Amino acid sequence: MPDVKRNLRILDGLEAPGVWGDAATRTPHHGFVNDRPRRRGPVILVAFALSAGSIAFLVRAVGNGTEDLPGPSGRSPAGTPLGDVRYEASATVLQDGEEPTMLCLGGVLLSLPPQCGTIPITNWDWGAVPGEERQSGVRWGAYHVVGTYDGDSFTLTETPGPYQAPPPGPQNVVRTPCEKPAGGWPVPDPSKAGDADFRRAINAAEAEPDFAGAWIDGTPTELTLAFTGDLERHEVEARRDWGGPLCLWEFERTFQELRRIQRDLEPTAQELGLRLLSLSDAVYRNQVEMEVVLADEEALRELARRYGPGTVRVTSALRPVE
Amino acid sequence: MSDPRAAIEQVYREHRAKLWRSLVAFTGDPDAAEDAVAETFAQALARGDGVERWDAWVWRTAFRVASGELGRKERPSAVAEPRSYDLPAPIDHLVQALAQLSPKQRLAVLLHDYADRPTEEIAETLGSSRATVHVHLSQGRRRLRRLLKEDGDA
Repeated sequence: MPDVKRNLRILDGLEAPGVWGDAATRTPHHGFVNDRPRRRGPVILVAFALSAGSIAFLVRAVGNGTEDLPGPSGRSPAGTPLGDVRYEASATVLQDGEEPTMLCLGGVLLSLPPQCGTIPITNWDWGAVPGEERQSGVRWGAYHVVGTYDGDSFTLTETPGPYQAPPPGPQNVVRTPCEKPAGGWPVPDPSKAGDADFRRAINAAEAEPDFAGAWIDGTPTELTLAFTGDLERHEVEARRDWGGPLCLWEFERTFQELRRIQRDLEPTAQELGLRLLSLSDAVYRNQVEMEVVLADEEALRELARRYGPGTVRVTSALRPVE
Repeated sequence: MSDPRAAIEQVYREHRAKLWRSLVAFTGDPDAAEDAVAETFAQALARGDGVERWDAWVWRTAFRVASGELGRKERPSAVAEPRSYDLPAPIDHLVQALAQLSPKQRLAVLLHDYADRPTEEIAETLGSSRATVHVHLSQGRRRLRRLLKEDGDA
């Protein structure tokens, strides 16, 4: 591989917006992108959901969003019949003309008027909610909804409330997993702690068959190298190139395995009846992240059986009401 | 693939992260990169049909959108725009080194050597011939190599 190409691989350590975040902070709609200061495009832009797949969702949402999409298999996450469980979500609700009113669980295309829609709401009443906007025959607003979901549509069981913004998301920077040693990170060889040095160390690590990931954090640079075993040997080898702060981390799955699993998950989701909203890798957690409208326990068990427990991190856009 | 939405969705799933990273490196601004990605996919959805290879279309459009934005940014402004977050130092150094390349060199290097896009597609994005792409690529690589070496030696 040419040296420039190798040097550019460092960009892979930059996590794209929306894929960083703990499940507890992930919500099906509207994310930190909307809450943090950022410049807006002048004409049209897409408000990303916190998940990486908002556009993927959005693509499905525009037009006939529900056709040809697998619905859940009639089970709630706990295995009870879907209609018996109440779910909640904070999301945009949108109606285009006389079309069904749609609940937008992934993202909204902020054209004027906006476009979105994952599942229809059977009993929406614009007269019962404040704060709607209208343009060109489209009505929309952001609300907190509670209701039942039958696998195809959502039925309100309560009057919608105001949209509940999620807590601000974390920064889109991957962190060093090793605990910072008391007294700070050792720098055994300052002459080998430059950018070119850690790039060499990463390149060497990537060539190892048990390589599981590499990323950087902090200033001065803290380099993390993850492998599926033999960390002592890898540390010795990494120290040939890198004299700065180093964290060796053991993961269960190699980088190549994660990529294979991610490729496999789209047909798997369809097979398991999961309505997929997004897929993204989280190399630094040794996981693949998958966001769906609603995950049932049987599907989760099957994912764990096929790929190993904890390999696929599933987030449901609809949350059971506690 | 006959359904453009499905094709766009697939491109989004497969390319979005790399596209965003490439645009961050191209513009030096994660927000600008995010906006360019968003606008590109919004345009793709609005366009709907008539595109044979959506991946090529998306990469081309995103870099054109980002180039336009870059052109606007280069005009003097009295107000500094806030950045939503800082890049990690080593990536920041790489982005700063890339910023010292000409836009065409930077685009050629990133699309060819990072994003693995075909030369023909890069030529279309630049509005030039394949031979010219190779000139930009060669000059850009040489310059970047030198800049990174200086950076590493520092």
